[in-house]
Amino acid sequence: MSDSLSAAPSATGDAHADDHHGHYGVPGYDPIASRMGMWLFLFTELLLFGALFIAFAAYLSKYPTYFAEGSGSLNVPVGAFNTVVLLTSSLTMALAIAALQRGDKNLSIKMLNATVLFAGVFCVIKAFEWGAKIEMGIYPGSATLAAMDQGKQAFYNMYYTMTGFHALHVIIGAGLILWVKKRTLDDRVNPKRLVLMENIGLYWHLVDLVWIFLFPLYYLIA
Amino acid sequence: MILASRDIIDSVDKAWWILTGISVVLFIGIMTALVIFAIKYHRSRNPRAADISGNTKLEIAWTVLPTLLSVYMFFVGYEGFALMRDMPSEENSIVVEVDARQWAFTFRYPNADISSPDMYVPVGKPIRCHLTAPDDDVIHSFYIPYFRTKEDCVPGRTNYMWFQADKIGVYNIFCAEYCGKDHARMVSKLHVVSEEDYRKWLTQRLEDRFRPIDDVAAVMDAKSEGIVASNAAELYTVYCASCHGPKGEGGLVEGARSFIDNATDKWKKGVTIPDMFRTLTLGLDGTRMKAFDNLSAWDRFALAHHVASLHPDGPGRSDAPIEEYKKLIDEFKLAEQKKVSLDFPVDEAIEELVEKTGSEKNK
Amino acid sequence: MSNDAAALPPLEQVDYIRAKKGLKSWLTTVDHKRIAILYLIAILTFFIVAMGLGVLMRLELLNPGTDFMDGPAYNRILTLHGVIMTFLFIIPSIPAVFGNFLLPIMIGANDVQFPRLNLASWYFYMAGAVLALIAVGLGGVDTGWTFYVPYSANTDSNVLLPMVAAFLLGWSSILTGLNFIATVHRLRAPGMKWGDMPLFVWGLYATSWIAVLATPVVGITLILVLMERFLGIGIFNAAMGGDPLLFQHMFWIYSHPAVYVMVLPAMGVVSEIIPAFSRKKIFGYWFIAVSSMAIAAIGSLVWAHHMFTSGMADEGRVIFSFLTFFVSVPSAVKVFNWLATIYKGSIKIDPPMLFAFGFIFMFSIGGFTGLMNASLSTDIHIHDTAFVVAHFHYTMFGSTGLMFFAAMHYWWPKMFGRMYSFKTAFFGFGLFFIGFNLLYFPLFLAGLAGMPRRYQDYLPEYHGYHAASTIGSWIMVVGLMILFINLIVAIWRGKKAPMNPWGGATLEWQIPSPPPTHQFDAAPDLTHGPYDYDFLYEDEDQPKETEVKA
Repeated sequence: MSDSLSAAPSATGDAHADDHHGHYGVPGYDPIASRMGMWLFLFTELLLFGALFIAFAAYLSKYPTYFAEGSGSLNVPVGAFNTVVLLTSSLTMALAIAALQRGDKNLSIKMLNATVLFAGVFCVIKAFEWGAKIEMGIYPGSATLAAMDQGKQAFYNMYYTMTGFHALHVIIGAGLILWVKKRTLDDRVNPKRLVLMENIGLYWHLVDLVWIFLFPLYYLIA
Repeated sequence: MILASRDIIDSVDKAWWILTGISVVLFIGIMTALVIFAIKYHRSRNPRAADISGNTKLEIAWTVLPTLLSVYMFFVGYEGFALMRDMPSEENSIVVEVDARQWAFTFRYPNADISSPDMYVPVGKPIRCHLTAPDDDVIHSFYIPYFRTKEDCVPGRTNYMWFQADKIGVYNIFCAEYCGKDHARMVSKLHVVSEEDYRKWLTQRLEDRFRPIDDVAAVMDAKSEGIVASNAAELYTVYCASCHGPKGEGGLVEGARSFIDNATDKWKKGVTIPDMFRTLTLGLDGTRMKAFDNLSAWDRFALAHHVASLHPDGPGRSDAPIEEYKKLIDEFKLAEQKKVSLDFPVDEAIEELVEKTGSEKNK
Repeated sequence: MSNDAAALPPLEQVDYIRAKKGLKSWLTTVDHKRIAILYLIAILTFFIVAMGLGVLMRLELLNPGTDFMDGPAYNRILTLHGVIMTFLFIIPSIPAVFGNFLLPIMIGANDVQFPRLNLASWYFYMAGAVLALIAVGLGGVDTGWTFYVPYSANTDSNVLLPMVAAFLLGWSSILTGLNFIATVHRLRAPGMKWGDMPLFVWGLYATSWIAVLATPVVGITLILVLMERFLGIGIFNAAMGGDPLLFQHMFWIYSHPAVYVMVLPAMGVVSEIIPAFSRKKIFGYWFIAVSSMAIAAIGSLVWAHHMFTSGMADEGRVIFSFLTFFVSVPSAVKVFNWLATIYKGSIKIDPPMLFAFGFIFMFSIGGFTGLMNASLSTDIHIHDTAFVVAHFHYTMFGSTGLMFFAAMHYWWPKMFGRMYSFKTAFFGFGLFFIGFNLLYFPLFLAGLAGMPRRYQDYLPEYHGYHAASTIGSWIMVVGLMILFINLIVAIWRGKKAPMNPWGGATLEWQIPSPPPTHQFDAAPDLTHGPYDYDFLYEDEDQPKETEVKA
């Protein structure tokens, strides 16, 4: 999708783009439009998570004590470490864009690699966290969970849903970064045409931002 | 404080007429203007249009006026709603628990520990309905059109509504929230009766509900007076047919047993009358077959006989020795004069109930 | 034109239909006009299928009792009718077909901002449609188009495919909306200010924002239901501490604004047709434009009026009723402005104009009966009855659907370069109008008498209403078929259409019919505004255009 957003032709009917040549309305490169498209797409992502946060708020107010209890069962240091990992990855992503802007392709590629690495670390830690819970028999559809109080069930159902959706976004984001890395390597993304990398950077910051909300809501309300 | 339902009906109807009146006047105005303009300014009469592009004063006028009208209409609708939600307290009303499940309503009278597929209420008393659906069921909606009132029965929560009948008669009850296969047949009746008839009905119902099995021979015989009185065919239509089929062919919902096939071994609790009684009383765990212990023991036996009679080989295959029946009667203590959850004889229970529910405030 | 222009090959003047040949050239096209035609074919096909299903339902309801469809069959047909009509017809109808075709032209652009994304939207749409059809093949689904839990989490029928279909269709409309917003912002012709845009563009712009902002919520909601079915994560399951009402909130947060996704473009079409056939400036341009945005904004705050009997807190019901009433205000403002536009106009009643009058009639009935749904006490009574069915068919079908047909009649000469028979169109419309009202008006009365909706069977006292309604459905379908056949025949048999058959002032009437692939060689002529008809009278008092007689 981002391919279309960045590489799609844009007509020069645009009043602000009078530096274009050729026929009226011949396709051209319009980073402003691409960025606008990306922001609109990010709105949809925000609303998708927004709906989940609304559900979280509804159940938190319905079962405050159970949610506090459930939160207490999560490992705060591990969660905090993961937060640092993701924040750092946001930094490396921003550095990758800055490097390419200066024309330093090598550094940019290194930073993209680092970002993907951090994404991997995040997912592995998350997998261990889930694994620990699953070992205790707490996972959706398990008999242990079904035997718990309804408030606890609601907590773990929300926990798996929201962190699961977030992890899915981390994985998709990492895939997109690998893809933009390939495009950077063969120079289809370059200092003059880097809106694709900027857009994927925006996406990555959103993934980070969502976690910034998830972490306190799940780990720190105990 | 508590107003008769007539007031709710009148208030809803009044709101309806006010809204309709406003709508009709505006609608006729708009359509008249449209037709007059279309004729008067037809191109054949008016070849050149006037140069008008707007009028701010007019715009403000037709923004502000509808806004004010909206606020007024909101209050008109709010009035009747406030009456509907001004619930009488449990002490001042007859509480009826409405249990909705696929695809029948069951009305329970908690004060009297009885239930019925039709609703009976005395005229002139506030009726408070507690609406529920089982956790593993779906959403239904309890709708009595005549009383202009409706509220959903949602799994996992109890909703409330109330009404008060001002006239003796029989009224329709519909399920108004789509609930699947037999949604259109989830129809029941509300019987508004005099206080005296209500008392009679309750008495009858209580007696039936807890009539002990005092005669083993009678429950073994499908044609005995006690069994025939239960009218099992009708009970079957209300409680069984929507899953097991009107002729017992089964399979109308997933896993619903066929009563007419020959594979006796697949019946989880067995095919004899006492076996079926046990299934009806306890339900089948892990299936959609619920316990029907709200029916009297006689009704349950009657239903078992009816199901047995559906089989093409005749009811004979469901016969069981008398010892089985006796065992059953001991197991469920069916021969004892079971006490209603209230700890005194039936007559007194009714007195108490009618007194309690009759003491509505007439402020 | 810049100096480089001479170096480029001359622009082909072949129209967009004949520009390339072969199925592949259509399925891989990024031309917004061709994509519009792809949508038109798909959407009309689905409409006709779903209309057939509707006729079947009405036929079953002709008499009480089961005639030829039992409960499960009826419920599947009902769900399919709702799913197709909502997700495959009415939501995409006007934006996907006429928005795609006209939005770039109306703002003087040669395409949308992201043409490839535009084609991708069409494929998302078709993928959703195919999944919905496969679901039918696998025995259908019986949840109703609203997919309410717990029913949708419990039913034995196949819920997965239609829900994934709805999800994909949601993506299709998000991507189209995103594309339109970027197009409006970035591709307006040089010199075209926001206030110079045709009102149809405003309607599409408001619609696009709703689609982008509301669709993700329903997307995630449907996914959560699927997670309950397949992973046992019971976010809405009462037995696991979940709340079924939360589903309804999340569903209607999208699906109520979606109602305005359906109606705003239709209002945009009315705002094009009425001035064109009155040859008079639209009355209160800014008020109509702003009222579109107001409807989009207020319409996002009223979803819970679908839940007045759900057991939601009483205070919540009061607030949502209050807010709901205010949506009527911008709608009323639009109707008054249209009337004021006709006033002292120079009116010609060709088929599109008659359709627009029909819209005002139907939309008024739909809107006024909406008041009874907004009003608390009356809504408790009519909620989930046939009254609601009649109400939303008047607004969705009688208004939006009708304007879809009106747009076909207004822009058909532009899209295909052919005129159609006016007489046949008038006749078809007459039958449609009579049939429609006979079909749906009795349902208002049935609903007031307590007839619940989604009933495959009914008590004998409701027989009269249902019989009248079923007869109406037959008349209406005949009328619609006449309208469609008239248009389709015109593509081959119709007289050639001139560039500007109606005397319209918006940009699409300044280019050939049908337009060439590359419609604007140079910045278009913006010397007159979209509703400025003075250019028709430059020489004398007689309009320049040769009046079309068909």
